[in-house]
Amino acid sequence: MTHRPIAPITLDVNADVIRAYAELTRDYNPIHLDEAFAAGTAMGGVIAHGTMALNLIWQALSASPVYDAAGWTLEVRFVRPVRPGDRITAEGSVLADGTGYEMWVRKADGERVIEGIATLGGCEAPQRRASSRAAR
Amino acid sequence: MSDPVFTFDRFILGELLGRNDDRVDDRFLQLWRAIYPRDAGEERTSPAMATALVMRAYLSVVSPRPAGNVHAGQKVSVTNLPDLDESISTELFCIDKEERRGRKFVTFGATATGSGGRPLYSAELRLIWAA
Repeated sequence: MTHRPIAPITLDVNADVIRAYAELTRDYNPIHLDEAFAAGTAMGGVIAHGTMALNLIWQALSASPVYDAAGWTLEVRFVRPVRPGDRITAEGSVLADGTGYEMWVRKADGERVIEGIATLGGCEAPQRRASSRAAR
Repeated sequence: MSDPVFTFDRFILGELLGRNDDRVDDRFLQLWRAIYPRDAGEERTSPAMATALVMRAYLSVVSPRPAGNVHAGQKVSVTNLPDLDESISTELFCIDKEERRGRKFVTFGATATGSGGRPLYSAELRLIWAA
């Protein structure tokens, strides 16, 4: 794999964008749409859909010179919420071992909201975990 | 009578929870371009769309859900992209569940195929389950 930088891609998050994403995904959870409801939750206010920011990573990856075909796997953790008014940026850097890219989404202040790894290959159907633990 | 809420105890590992049929139609593209203006000139699907399509399938199949679930992580592998307006069938499974430090975690597997059963993408969604 040729290692080239991943150019950053930025998105300004606002209520209109969140409403559009709610309709796109049919996810009308009031934590994303209802300020009064969201204020009473542990989040303390409206948060954007996590996958709205995740999609920005795919956009950054697929717009880069390294992405010339399907066959990529992206695995992420949602580590902090994104809120209306946030400017978020997806970017990435080559992993130290050269097997893929570390990818993340950060806010304007540098705080990361999503962290993950993108690798070429590794596509396989999800399997029941061999090590699944029974509910205790 | 409405369907019972999907609680943690109801999930059986490996069980097919359901299927969702979908497609990237004009309304999908209109909304997508409003959210991601840099794709405004694109007349094809993109790997980012797979994530949104997986969420639609999950939200359609695993419903109703308890309030307060938290989306903790996600893995998506794209083998092929769907064509515009291609019929997409997505199957949802429960592939893992565990309780750890007082929290309930559920992982769903999703596998999407297109016309003629051609493989499109697969995903794993990891959630902290509220009840």
